[in-house]
Order: sequence, then C-alpha cells, then structure tokens
Amino acid sequence: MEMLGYVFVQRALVAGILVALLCAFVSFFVVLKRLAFIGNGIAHAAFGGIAVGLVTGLNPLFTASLLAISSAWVIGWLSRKGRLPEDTAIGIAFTAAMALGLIILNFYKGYVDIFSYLFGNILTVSLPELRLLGVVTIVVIIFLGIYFHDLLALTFDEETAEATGVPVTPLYFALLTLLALTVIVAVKVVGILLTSALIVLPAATGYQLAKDYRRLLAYSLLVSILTVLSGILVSYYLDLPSGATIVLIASFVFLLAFLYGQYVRRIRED
Amino acid sequence: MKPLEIVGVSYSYGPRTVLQEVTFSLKDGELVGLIGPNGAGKTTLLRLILGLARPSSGEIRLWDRNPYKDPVVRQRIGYLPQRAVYNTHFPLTAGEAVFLALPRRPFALGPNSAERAKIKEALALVGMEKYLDTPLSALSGGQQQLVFLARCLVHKPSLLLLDEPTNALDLSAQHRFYNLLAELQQKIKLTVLVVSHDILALAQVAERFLLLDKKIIASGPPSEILYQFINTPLAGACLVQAHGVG
Repeated sequence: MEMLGYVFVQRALVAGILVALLCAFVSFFVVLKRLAFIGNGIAHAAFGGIAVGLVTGLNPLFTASLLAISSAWVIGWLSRKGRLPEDTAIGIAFTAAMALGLIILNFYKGYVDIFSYLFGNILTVSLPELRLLGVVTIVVIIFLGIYFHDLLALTFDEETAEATGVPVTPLYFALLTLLALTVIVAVKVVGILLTSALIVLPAATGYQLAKDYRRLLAYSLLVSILTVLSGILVSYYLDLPSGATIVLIASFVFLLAFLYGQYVRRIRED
Repeated sequence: MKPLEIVGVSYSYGPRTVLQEVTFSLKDGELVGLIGPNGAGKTTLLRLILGLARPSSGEIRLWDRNPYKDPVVRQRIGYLPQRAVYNTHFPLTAGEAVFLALPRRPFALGPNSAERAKIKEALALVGMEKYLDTPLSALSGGQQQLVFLARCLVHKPSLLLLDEPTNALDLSAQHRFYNLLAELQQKIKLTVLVVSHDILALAQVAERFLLLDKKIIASGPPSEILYQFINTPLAGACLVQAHGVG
C-alpha cells in the first residue's frame, strides 16, 4: 500500500470514485433511455472542443463542455423533431466534430498529448480538475435526486409522464446536458474513445441481474466504483494504461453478469 | 357540470386537416366509445384533451374550466396510452410502475408507506394486488394492461381516457377488461372515454358510441350505431382493423 503515500495516486483514487459515482448515476438513465450512442457522439464532439481550446488558448475543458453540450442539444432536437433519424444525426455530428478537431490541431504549433485525450490518464489528474470533478458530481447528484422520480417516469413512458404534468422536454434536455458534463469529466479518466464504455457498462451490468430499478441503481454504483478503483490499482502495479485497464475490467464484469443472468433465466424457464 | 365539452374543435398538422369542427360532450359517469377508421383523428383528439397538443380552433372545457388557462384541472384525468408506448422489459415491479404515476417527491427512490397504501389500493381495484412486487416483465400481456390501468387510477381521477386498451389482447381478455372497466365506472363513479377498434367487445359495456372520421359522423347507443353503419365502408374499415378480416 506504499502507493497510497503518493499525492498523484491519492488524487487518482478520489477522482476515480467521483467519476465512478457520476457514471453510475448517468449510466442508469443512459441504458434505460437508450442514450448510449448519443453518449458516444458527445465524447467525440468533445475532441473538437478540446482542439478549439488548445488553439484559442481557452481552457480545453471549457470549450469541450460547450461543444459537447451544444452537440447533445442539436442531436436531441433533431431526433425529437423527427427531422433526421437519431443514429444518423449522431453519426454525422460526431465524425464531423472529430474531423474538425484534427484539422484545428494541425494548425496548433505547441505540443499536444493527443493520446492523453483519446485514452485518458487518471494518474495525471490535477487539483483544479479534481475540484471541477467534485462540483460536477455534486450538481449532477443533486439534480438527479430532485428529479429522479420524473426522469424515471419519462424514461418508462414519456407520453403518460407528459400527460400527468412532468416537464418532459426540459428534463430530457437537462438529462442530455448532465450526460455531456459527465462525458467531459470522464474523458480525463478513460479518454474520449473509451468514455462511452464507462457510461454504459455499469448499468448494462446491473441490468443483467436486477429485477427492479432500485437494485439496478445499486448494482450500477457497485460495479462502477469497484471497476474504476480496481482498474487504477491494476494499472499502477502492472504499469498499464489506466483507462484501457478500467474498461477491460468493467467489460469482464459485464460478461460475467451476462452469463450469470442467462444461467438464472434458463433455470427459471426449466 | 359536464366533465368534458368539445366545441367546434379543429386541428391541422401542416397542410393536413386531422380534425374538423368536432363537437360533443360527456355526461358525468358515462362510458363512451370513440370509434372510427385509422387516421380518423381519435388519438389526436385524446392528445388535445390531455394538453399534449393545442387545437387550431375551437374550445375544450373540462368541468367547465379552460384547461389551457387552468391546467391543474387536468390532474383529474387518468390516461392509458396505447400499449406499444411502454417498454415492458423496463426493470420495474408492478407496484413501482404504479408508483411512477404518483406526483414527484424529491430524493425519493421508492414509495413511502402512504404511497404504498395508495398503490395497493389501485392494484386491488383491478384485482392485481398480489402482484405488487412481481416484475412487470413476468406478467402476461393482459396482466400488464391491468397494472397500467391501476397506474391511471392511483391518483383517483374523475375522467378516464383510454387509447386502444385492448389492441394486444385476445377476445376473452378484451371482454374481461371491458367488464372490469364497467365495474370500476359504477364503483368509483368514473366518466370514461375509450378509443378502440375492438368495437364488438366495447359495445357490450359502452352506453354510447361516437363515430369519428375527422368530424363526428354519428353519436348514439352502440347497437344503433353498429346497425346504422355496419354495411358502410366506414364500419368495414373499423372491423378490418379490429379483426384483420378483409
């Protein structure tokens, strides 16, 4: 446990727990509302935002948040209006944003560690980033706490929720905004390319085991925290990339849960 | 006081006229079937009553109040949308599905004891109280529909709007559902408006049929409406949709 004596490891563990909490709560709605592809699109759009930040001298996390949130809203608006199929809108938006990022970076004269944005490195998380992560986590958890019932109602059955007075459209866009913010802070941990795994795998794993939404949320939290922490430890001791290690462990846990879920279902059917 | 009055309501979607000068009203405690072919505007009419869309012209009044100026009045409505709208593999128990129809309570992950009592009462009304903790996905289609009916009843509505409540049920389940609805209507003094293509099953319990095809074509006792229109292309279209006969 000598590793715990290092400040960067302490920060990484705190950041890991915060990101795991965030992703578990958001993952719950991402899986139930089938927003996984939007999450993936937002992560890619963030890359364009990071590039804009580097070139303009603005904080890359700030510009990435702006681009991620605005692209989430555009995708949400297009899909709700039925102007374009959702997957088509996302496919176009995220590849365009990624391409824009690469072009912009081409004009950037300074050194850019693209790898750290693409694949993340939680061991390099700074104190300001940790503070930002803490603020985002608190905001997201308070919002989800207040509106959990309404969000669950609209996720289950949007039409009835709207008919009973739930502000469906503002809440849907608020959910997309929270998803975008979560993606941005998760990018530091696992990077743009692996972020979608962190916002899908916790609840997808819980879904294999849970018979009600409260257990799904509990499993999602448990899986998220355990896989992120164990990923950080394993990557430290085996000198592996932290993001990829976290995602691989989470994928392995999902596989186990999936096989167990299938086994239980087969026994019930027999 | 009439629970629902529709006066000269028209609705257009772009260049397409969906409803044209629709006028009718419901009496307190009446069970009315709203029938008509596909594209007649039945679901649109329900959406207008619920405030999910606004009429292009005309007026909708609920208990003599304008729901656009006084939206609280809509809290007295229970609404059962078409079954296709629900994701029945959602990880919910029957009790939790009913819980979601109750008003929001911040930081509540599940029902408290008062809400649990309301949920049990609503499930008991439809004979599903023993399935309180059963996952929705483990119930049959007919049982799920009863749970969804309990969702509409949990906040004790005075007016119930149902959109194709039996379209995925077999004939005997359709009859059971409508008989239960008629029982509830008497027991808890409900006014009910049912949109359905299952007109023969609905005719057993409805006091009145409204035949809609963009406008109200006829209104009267089900036997009269069926007799009057059974040989017309309109009735034929209704029967084809309901029973798949051509």
